[in-house]
Amino acid sequence: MIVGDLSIDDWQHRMTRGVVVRIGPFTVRMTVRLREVADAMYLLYRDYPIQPEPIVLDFDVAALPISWWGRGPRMAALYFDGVRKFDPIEREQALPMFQWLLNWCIFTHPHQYLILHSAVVARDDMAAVLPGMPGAGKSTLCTALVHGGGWRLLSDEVALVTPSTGLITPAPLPIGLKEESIPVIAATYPHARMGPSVRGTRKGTVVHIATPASSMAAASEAGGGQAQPRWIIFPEYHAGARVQLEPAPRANAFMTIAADAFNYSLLGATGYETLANVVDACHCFNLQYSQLDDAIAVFDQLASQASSAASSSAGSLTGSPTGSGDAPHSTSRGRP
Amino acid sequence: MSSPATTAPVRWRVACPGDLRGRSWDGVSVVHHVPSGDTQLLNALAAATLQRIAAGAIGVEALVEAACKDQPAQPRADIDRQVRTLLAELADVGIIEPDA
Repeated sequence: MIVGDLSIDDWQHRMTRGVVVRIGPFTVRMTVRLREVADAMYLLYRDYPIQPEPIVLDFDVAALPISWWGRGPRMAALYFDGVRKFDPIEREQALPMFQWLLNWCIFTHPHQYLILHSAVVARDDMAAVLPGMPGAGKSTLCTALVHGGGWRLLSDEVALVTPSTGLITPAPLPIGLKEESIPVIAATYPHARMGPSVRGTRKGTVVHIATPASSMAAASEAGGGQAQPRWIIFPEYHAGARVQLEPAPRANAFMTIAADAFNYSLLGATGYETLANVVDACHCFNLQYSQLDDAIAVFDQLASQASSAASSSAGSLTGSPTGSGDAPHSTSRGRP
Repeated sequence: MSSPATTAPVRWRVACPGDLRGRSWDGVSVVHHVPSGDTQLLNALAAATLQRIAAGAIGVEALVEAACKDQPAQPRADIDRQVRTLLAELADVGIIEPDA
């Protein structure tokens, strides 16, 4: 059963008591007693599987109103595992803050993975990891790729890398867009389900875009929709710039990603080896773009080249890119 | 008056060889020191120097000599300074130590 199988009335009713939803490998009980937030989530989570009450919950999160009879804005509180977390929030901002709480759960808990701060999209089982500083256009590009480019969303915020396999596990949440990117995406991809616009957040005006049904379906397949990292691409939006894809030094890519990862230091040598294996398996690029269609074309070309190489070189998907025939870099591995 | 131990040329060794991990891409190395959790980006000279120390205890002069052979176009004084600076930094973070 998925959320969309419920009527909105049933969904609202269940949300007041807690609904267990599957987000990638995680079982999450979400309790929301803010009707406007529950309504928006019905739209944004329509394709997410609903689970029967499990024995083990990964995360138990809630957004509840705070009783308030005085002047000033109505407030709400966020809870994690039954404990109130963070400062009270204005109720109008409860939706983005609740989404942030869900991201926070994934950023800070599942240390069986190396958790990289990066969007991840995939074509078939080949993943592109998109680290990016705030403002680089990572979420906008990610939205374009999954709603207009035939790529599937693994996550807009995290790459969950399994140390023993090097594979990335999907944990898709609705993509958060802010400010200028909102009208661009609304106009370019009108079929994308968009939640309500929320003004006055720390990031300005934000909206969330629903994860495409195709991405959710892939995540529900056997193997959980895991993908092999093939490309690390640092996107950077520059107004008016021509699209440009340039090789990025791998060692620098390693250091940049490690510095921004959520648990690289915590995992110690395992974190190092896991990230080194990811970098080993990937071509690294800097991508400058202004037009989403141009950027999508670049991604499509990379996927096409990799598929061609894979068909002419069996096993290249899981090997070093130097063996795939389309590598722009040379790679060596050594112990100093 | 200095003791014999301080006047003897210092030879360097890797503190715990099993605790050092490294990968190289395009001549640049990323080294991870397990006990400290530090990850260092090393250029070609630094990586080669660390590799020589990892191969067995070695003195500064021998390291400079080898680095000069790697990079004949660079003035020896520059290489000498770079190697000594590198050794001090690696010793500071506990990756190398004087060979007793």
